[in-house]
Amino acid sequence: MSKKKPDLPQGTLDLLVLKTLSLGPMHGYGIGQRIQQLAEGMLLVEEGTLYPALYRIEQRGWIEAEWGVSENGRRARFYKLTRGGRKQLQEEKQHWEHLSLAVAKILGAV
Amino acid sequence: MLKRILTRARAVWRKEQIHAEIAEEREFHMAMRAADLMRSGMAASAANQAARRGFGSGVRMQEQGFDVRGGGLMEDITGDIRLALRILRKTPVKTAALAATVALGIGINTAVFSVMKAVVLDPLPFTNAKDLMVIHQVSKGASEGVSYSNFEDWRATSRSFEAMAVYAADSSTLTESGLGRRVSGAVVSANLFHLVGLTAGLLLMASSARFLSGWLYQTSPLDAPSPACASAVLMAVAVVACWAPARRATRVSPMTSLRGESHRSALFPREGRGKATTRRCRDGL
Repeated sequence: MSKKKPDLPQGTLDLLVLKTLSLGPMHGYGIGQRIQQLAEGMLLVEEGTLYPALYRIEQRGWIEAEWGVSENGRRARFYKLTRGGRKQLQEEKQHWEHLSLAVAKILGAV
Repeated sequence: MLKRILTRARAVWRKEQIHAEIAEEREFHMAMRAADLMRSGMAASAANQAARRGFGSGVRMQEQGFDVRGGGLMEDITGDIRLALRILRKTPVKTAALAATVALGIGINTAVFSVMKAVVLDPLPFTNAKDLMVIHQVSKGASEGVSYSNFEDWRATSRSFEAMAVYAADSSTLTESGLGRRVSGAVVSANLFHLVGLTAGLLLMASSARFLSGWLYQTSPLDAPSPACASAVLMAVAVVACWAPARRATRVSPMTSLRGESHRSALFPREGRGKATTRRCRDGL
C-alpha cells in the first residue's frame, strides 16, 4: 500500500464486477481478488465500496446471491450473473469502449 | 416488480436474519483477507487488524446492505404507520368518530350501489336474454299497436323465432274492503311468462311478496327518496366530521405549523397553546 492506486471512476466498478462474474460465480472476497489479479495489481478494490456495489447490483437484478461453501470449507455468499446481468455487461462494455476510445483520441491530440 | 415487493416484505419480517447475513459475509471476507496476509508472512494479530481495517466501521456496510435489500424504505413506511396508529390511539374519541364515518360511508354506498346495480345496470334475468326480441308493427316510420289477428298471422308464418308472445299495457282498479286503487299493468298472452323464463319466478314471487315487503320496510326498489335520504345523511355526517378538525386547523398560525413540521404535534395543539399562538400572531400583525 505504499504507492497510491488510482480511484475507479463512478460506475466503473459495476462493470468490473459484472465482467468478473461472467467468468463464473464467486463470493465477495474472490471478486475483489480477481479484479486485482486481472488488473495485475494496478487497481485496489476497497471493501467499503465493493459490498455496497454488490448489493446495489443485486437489487437491480443483474446478479443473484446464494449461500454456498467456499474453497476453504466456510459458508460464503456466492454471486452469479443473471440473464439481465449478461445483457447489462454487453451494454456497459460497449459504452466503456466507446468512451475510452474517445478520451484516448482527445488525449492523443498533438 | 412483485419480486421487489417480496424482497421488501422479507426485509421487515427477517430484519435480524438479513443483518446476520451481512455480518457473516463481512466476517468471511475478513477471515479470507487475514489468511492471505498471513500466508504472505504477516503476523496473525497484525493480519487480523489489517483485515478489519479494510471495512472501516461495519455499521455503514450493515445499513447500506439492509437499505439496498429493501429495508430502508420499509422501515420508513412501517415507522409512518406506527406513528399514525399511535396518534389514533391517543385520541380514541376522534378515532371512533372517524371509524364510524368511514363505516357508515362504506355501508351506505354498498347498499345504494347494490340496489342500483340490480335495478338499473344488470340486464333483467330472462332465460336466453340475448335471443329475446321486441317486434313492432311500423306504419310511416312510427311504431303502433298490433292487432291480435296480425299477431296470430306472424306467429303462424314466422320461421326466425322459436316462440312469440304478445302484451298490451293496461291499467285497472283494484278494490280491497271498499278502497279502490289504480294499478298499472299489462295484458299478456298465456305463453309470455314461459317464454321469458319467468314461470318459476312468478310463483316464487307470489308466495313470498308479503314476506319480502316487510324486509324492505315497505319501500319499493324504485322509490327515489330512499337513496336520496341515504346520500343526504352521509353528506351531513361527512360535513360534521370535517368541521371540527378544519376549524382547529384554521386557528393555527402558518408559522407555527411550519416550525412544528419536525415534531408534528403543532397540527393538534392543546387548547391553551393554540390560543396563545393566535394571540401572538395577531399582535405581530
